[in-house]
Amino acid sequence: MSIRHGLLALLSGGPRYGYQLRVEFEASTGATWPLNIGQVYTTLSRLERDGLVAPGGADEQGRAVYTITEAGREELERWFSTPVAQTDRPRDELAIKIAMAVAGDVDVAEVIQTQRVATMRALQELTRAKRAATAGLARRLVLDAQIFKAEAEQRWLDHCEAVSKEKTS
Amino acid sequence: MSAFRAALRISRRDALRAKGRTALIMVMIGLPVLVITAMFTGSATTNVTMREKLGSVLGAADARIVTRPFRTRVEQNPDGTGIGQPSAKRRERPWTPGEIGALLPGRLLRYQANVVEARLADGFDRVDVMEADLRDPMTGGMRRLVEGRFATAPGEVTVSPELVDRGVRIGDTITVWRPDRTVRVVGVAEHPNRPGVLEMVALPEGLLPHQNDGNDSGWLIDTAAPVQWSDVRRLNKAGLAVQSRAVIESSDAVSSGPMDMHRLVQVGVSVLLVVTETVLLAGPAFAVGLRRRRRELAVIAAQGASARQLKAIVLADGLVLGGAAALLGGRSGSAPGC
Amino acid sequence: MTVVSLRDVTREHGEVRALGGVSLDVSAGELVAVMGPSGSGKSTLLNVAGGLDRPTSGTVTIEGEDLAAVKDLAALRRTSVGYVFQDLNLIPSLTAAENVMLPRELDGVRTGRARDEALAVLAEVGAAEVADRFPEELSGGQRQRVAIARALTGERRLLLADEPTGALDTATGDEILQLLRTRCDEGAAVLLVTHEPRYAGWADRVIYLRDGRIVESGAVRMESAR
Ligand SMILES: Nc1ncnc2c1ncn2[C@@H]1O[C@H](COP(=O)(O)OP(=O)(O)O)[C@@H](O)[C@H]1O
Ligand SMILES: [Mg+2]
Repeated sequence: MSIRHGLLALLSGGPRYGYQLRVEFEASTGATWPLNIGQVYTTLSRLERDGLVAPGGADEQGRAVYTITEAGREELERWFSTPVAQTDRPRDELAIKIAMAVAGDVDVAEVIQTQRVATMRALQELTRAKRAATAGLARRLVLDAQIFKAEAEQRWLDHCEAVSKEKTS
Repeated sequence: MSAFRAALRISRRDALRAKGRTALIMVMIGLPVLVITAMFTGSATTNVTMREKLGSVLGAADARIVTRPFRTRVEQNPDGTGIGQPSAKRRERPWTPGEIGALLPGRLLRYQANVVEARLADGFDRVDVMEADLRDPMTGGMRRLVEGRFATAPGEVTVSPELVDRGVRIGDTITVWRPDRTVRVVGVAEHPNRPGVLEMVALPEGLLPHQNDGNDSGWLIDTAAPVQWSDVRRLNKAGLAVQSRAVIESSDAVSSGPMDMHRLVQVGVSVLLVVTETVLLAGPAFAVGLRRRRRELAVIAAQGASARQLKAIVLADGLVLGGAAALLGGRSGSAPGC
Repeated sequence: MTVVSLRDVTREHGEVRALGGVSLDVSAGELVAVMGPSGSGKSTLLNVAGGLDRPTSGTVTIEGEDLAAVKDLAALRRTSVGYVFQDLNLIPSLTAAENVMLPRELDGVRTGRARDEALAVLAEVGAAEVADRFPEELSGGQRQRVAIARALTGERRLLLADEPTGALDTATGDEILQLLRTRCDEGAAVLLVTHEPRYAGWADRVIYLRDGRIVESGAVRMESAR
């Protein structure tokens, strides 16, 4: 799930307060997905329950600081190295993933490439289905819609790669 | 071979497509060729000297006596060209063989020449007419009988091979306009140094009316001794022009040698200049549009053309354009000489 | 059966390394798409694979023949390799049929026979009716069909296509891919350079080039897509 991993990604950069996480999450994703602070704390407590983060002290006003655990780092790595499925994307997880990768110290190119290969596979399958679907214009056009979507994603990945390369060099 | 055909096809089409470039190249190459051929044709035409033509003009005769409309003193070059004569108040009566014989003794043979319009298969055309009795040995060498026989009666003619090519056959009749007559073809006779001429040969007054009007007419004469320049001047004084074998042969001999040498050098230098000009112009001419060509050549190379075949294509360009330009230039250059 | 094989191929232009150690096999009946940002060496890869360009190091083998040992690369291009480019494919002064005839004529085949062959291939790619038209009288899709017909004459089994859909709308582009795919299924080996994912989707295998190198595809193997 994207908020979970998003917060983990932010914490991999160092310990942070709940409020800080909200601000940084919104900054990374360009406020495309506004978070309310309650959502942040609910997510953090679930992460704590799963042993992926640990609370560590509080500031003068009594707010808790969270730190990523070893298990949390492993989970984060797994997430980054797994492509997002073409289907079932409640909150564009891919976009969040790339945004987090760019904000953090992960190899963005690698993340992009992993995703690219997966999307291409989906595209190949769609094309194969389209070639097989000789009957029915409607079916073909639906497949075309998915092809265009997948293609748009591929293009966006190319774009991410080009832009992130520009930024780092 | 089919590769070269393909190359020629590309060049030809490109030449047609890029008309501006083609025109430029044609002009750049064609112009010098035009100049050079015009020059050559000019010199070639004048180079057929009177001496080379002697056979067709004089046959075996010693001289040709040309009558004039008047009997005033004639001015002429030794070779019988450049005839001039002050006109008189009225026309003289025609010369008679007796009068000629009194001025220059010898055997005479009447001749006349003119141009008529004759009806050919494809319409009227101008046809040269020569009238002389070709059976007489004095005319030996003037015309060569190819087929049939020479004219033996008025209204009979031999025709030149060119007329045969135009559809005239032995046994045909030809309608002539001005003078209105019909003549019958009895043979084919060839002019020794005018291969393309349309010509009919008849007996004197067998086709033309009697001429004494400044058109070509007179007598061939067979004299005991060669006709000298002094004889020519004497006849000139009486109002006759003369082409004398002896005079022409000797005058040619003295004047032609060094003249030709000089001319040769002149022609050589001009040729060199024109060739240099062509080379200098041809390069830039072909460079026109080369950038566009280069892409095309790259495509052809990708299709598997070897370096040699690519060269052949560029060469074909030169062949098509240069060839067409040279042909065009050559043709218009030689046109005035025909 | 492997039609073209590249082993550790490097191509340098002075300082610029256009290709750096690329290995790749394309088999008969296989359509391989090459993707990558511009300047990543896609065209260079295609040119080297087809003998239009020689590698600085490494070996290229076409139908079992090591290109380094082939003296007459032009002959190999005429008989084994067909090219299709994005544009400037056809010679403007030749008709469609004459364009298709060209490689055969260059190979010394008589004009009449070359024409018969050309008409047959044009019919196969669905361009029979434009045989006697000039390229500028053809639509973009028709032009590419003719270019593909030309690339296929003389039973050439390696087809190299560099952005053949570059100037086409997506429907026409799909038709061209359908055509390439059909030729592939009939036994040709096709190496297709494209920057458009939708066309790469037609491939059996997709290769990503970056800075002259093939990007390792990581955990997810594309081969599993076949
Ligand atoms: N003839 C050449 N001379 C110098 N550099 C070249 C030449 N051809 C290609 N390159 C360089 O090699 C790299 C790869 O080029 P290319 O194969 O055309 O890339 P792509 O087709 O992927 O856009 C580029 O950096 C390009 O500038
Ligand atoms: Mg390219």
